Amino acid sequence: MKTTFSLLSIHKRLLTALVVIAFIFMALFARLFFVQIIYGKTYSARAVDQWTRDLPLEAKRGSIFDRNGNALAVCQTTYNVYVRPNAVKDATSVARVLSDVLGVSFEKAYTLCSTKGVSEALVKMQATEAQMQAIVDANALGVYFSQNIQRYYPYGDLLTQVLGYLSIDNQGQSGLEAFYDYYLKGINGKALTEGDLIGRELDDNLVQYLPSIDGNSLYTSLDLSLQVALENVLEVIMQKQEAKGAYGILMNPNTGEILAMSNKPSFDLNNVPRDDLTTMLDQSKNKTVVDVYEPGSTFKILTMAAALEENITTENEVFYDPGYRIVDGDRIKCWRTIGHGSQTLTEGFCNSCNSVFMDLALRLGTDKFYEYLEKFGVNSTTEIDFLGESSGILMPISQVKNVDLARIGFGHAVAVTMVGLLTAISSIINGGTSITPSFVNSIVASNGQTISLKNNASKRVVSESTSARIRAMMSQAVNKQEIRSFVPGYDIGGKTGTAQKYENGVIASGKYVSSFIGIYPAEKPEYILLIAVDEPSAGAYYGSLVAAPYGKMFFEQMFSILNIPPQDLEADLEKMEKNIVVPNLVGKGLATAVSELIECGLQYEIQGEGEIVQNQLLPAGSLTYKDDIVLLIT
Amino acid sequence: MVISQKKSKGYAIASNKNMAWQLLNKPIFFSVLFLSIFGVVMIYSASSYSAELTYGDSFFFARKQIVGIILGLISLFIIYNIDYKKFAKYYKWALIISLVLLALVFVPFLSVSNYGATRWIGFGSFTIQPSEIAKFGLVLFCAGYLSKKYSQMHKFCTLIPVLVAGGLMCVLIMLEPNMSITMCVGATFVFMLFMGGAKIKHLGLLAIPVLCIIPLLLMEPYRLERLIAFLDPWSNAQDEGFQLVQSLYSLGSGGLFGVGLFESRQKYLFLPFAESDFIFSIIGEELGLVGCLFIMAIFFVLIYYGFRVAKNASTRFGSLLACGITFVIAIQVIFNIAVVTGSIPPTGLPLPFISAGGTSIVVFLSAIGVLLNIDKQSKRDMQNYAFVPQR
Repeated sequence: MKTTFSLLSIHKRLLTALVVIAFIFMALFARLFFVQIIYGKTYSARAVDQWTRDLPLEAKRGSIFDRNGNALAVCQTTYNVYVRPNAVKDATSVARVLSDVLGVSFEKAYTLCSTKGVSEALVKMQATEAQMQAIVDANALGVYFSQNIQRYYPYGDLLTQVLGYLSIDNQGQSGLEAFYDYYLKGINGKALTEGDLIGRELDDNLVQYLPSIDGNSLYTSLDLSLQVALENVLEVIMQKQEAKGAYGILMNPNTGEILAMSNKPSFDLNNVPRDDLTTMLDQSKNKTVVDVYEPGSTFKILTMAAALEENITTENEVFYDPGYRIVDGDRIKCWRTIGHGSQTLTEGFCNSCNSVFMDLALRLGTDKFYEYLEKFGVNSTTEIDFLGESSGILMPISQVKNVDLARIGFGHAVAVTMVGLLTAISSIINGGTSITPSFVNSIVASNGQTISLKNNASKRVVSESTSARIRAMMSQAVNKQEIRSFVPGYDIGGKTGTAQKYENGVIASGKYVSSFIGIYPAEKPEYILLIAVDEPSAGAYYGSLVAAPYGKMFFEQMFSILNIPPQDLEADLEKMEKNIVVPNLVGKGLATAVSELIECGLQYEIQGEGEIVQNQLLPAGSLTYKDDIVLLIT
Repeated sequence: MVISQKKSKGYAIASNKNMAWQLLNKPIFFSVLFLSIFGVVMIYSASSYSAELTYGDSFFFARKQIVGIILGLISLFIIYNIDYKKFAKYYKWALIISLVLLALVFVPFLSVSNYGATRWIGFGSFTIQPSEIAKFGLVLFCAGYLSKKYSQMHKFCTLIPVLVAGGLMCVLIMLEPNMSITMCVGATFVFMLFMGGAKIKHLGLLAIPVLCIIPLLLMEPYRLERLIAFLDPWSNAQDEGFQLVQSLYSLGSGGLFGVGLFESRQKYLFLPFAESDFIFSIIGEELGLVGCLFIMAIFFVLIYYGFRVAKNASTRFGSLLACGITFVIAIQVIFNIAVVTGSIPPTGLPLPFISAGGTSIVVFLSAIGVLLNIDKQSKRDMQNYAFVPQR
């Protein structure tokens, strides 16, 4: 029996096996206990995560309004229309409905409805709510819709750089859309739905909603009609002056409210050129805020204000301009190379004589002058509610030599943003208090709650009297000299400027930024306007010729839009008649032309080496004033 | 010597019908019946969504399972009425048929591949999985061979035919490839040797090659993953671990009492093979730890009574056959639950009687037929002789 294996031994081994199996069962049960009870909560929480999908409920983005409640940017709900061929019962009638309502061809609609093996086909994007309703009412089986909320700009190519554009997923990328994105975007809600592994909704699914909160609306200080006028004027500039760009800002100099602001060229905000990145980035940039430029003569207002405030000169002081100044051995030219001769300070301002301003700057001295420039905010940002504002640039004070100081006096060797310059000039002419430019007056939540944005803490930069004296000079500049920005019956003040452009740190020959700054009414300004023309190439480049006439054009439109009646129209018209009509000189010999001009009481500049006048600026027939300069191109 | 004592228990006066009822091993039969019917319910619950999506018929798997159960029960009753002792002399044939069936998997026009493995043979829509049959073929072979050789079990050479037969079978199944059934078959023939009376130290020799692998695996644990991934692509067809994670989510969601019958969320395509290899996860999710315990208890009852049949069998052949059949059930239950709980690497092995699978349910019910017959025979032998047969 020792060698044979008995049944009893089988019994023993059976028992052993049973015990082992029982032990394994208990171990498995223990493992189950861990999985189901100890870690159960963790696992089930993760499981819930994969069972539910949260579909975002898109919050409606806030609108942007002008000061009169005109919508500049709104959200529009559109629908994409799909067919699921498998669900279409009667392809002919469904296709008929689709073609009638959406304007797609019947053949195309029929093909889409009857193509088998396609789960879903897009019929039309961006159908309106009315179209969607019409299809629903027609009871077209197998047609589905997806809703999308879309940004819509009712005026398209208007305020392009100011409003800014959105990314595909509705995030503000530039302009007010970007700066106020946090307020505009609202808070997305969620719809929790239960789905299977690949997200198909379950039949007995209960959708749980977490409602979205619509974005806040912006009420801006912009004025739609003035904006339209400004944009039209800039378009005219672009065409007539064959300019690279044209910029305009209209602001309230007392509050800093921006009434209109435009950059040309631009694009339609409803059709952002996303596939042309260079164009998009360039044209979406609000260069009046983001870019700096050398202002030229418009900057002289700042020099003048500092000089008057410091009492280092008076209106009647006489300056002599031989056409240049020699500063520390350097000969710095006035723009009029033959010189302005003897002139009072006021005349020097009106003539925009560089020599006068060199004198003023040198008299002030670097420290004093810089003190004022800093007060005017030249070396800082204006804190406008806009993304990416640049600060003006002054040379480091320690590096300023007299030649530099003299140049800064007439607006060279300094860089400012257009909005920065306008803000500085505003603070000088508004009675002498600093302002902060702004676009948005109030933010209104979807529940009606309103936040008013107030410009706070203005500080004095110049005295009331200095302010008044500058206004008088600007008024004279227009009334006496700048006939091209003179509107009979309206007391406009102004100053023109021409600045050279720099490319890679050196002066780019033949490239200028010509600008005009106008204020109205000059006695107590409520509007301040800047028009700047980048690289005019139709011949002239002086601000007085290229920018000022369009300042006038805009002001005329503004007066008619705002129904501002003329005052002392008779007297002004009389004055106009005393003005000189420029004779036609083209084709004439140089000597003849010059003598004709002198006969008329006009002055001249000659450009070129020829003997025959090829072109003339001002053009024949235009009105001008005594001693104005006509450029003869030979 | 006489059956007078048994008579007093009333066997003799019982009618034929009553007699049949008395001879039926009720714990085994009813637990199997319960598990099979419960299986259909769970299969329906686990597969209705995916079946609706895939076949447009939410009862697709449940219906197939019902057909399997009916065929299986018919087979069970036929086999129940065949004296198991008649099988003893065909034990060599059981091995040969099993090996042939396994080899047929590699005959191109007969084989059916799925999920990157070739495990089925079939004609048209009728397919069978030979490895399901081979497991029991091996049990029958071992029982037949070992009961004949019981007096020579102390010699190692006696074990060699079993080792060769088992090894050959393992290789064939491994080639399909089907790692999990290979392990199942390996465990089964070792168990059969153990029950057949092989010396422990001889069995210990078998462990030596296995032990040699351990230090290799310990040195570079990733080899284990590689090994499994290489040998059983089915289990790793999707991202490694995805099934296991989903299984744990199911079980975890169930908690103590479950989310309720038919209320599983994991069955919405999250848990792959929810109706077959991972049905226990759905049971755990819908019926909780309590439900799992209940099902495990029923399996244990089945195993316990299966071993009792082995213990009470009137022949050594019957005893080995009974414990072999029971062991195949036990090892599959253990492997399956170990897989779904993440205790061992995922391998595709159905839960006996419950998982969807036609071949599996028919073969298991047939095997139960054999088991019930062994019990019937031993009860009859008891009645007839009222003594423990001597050897």
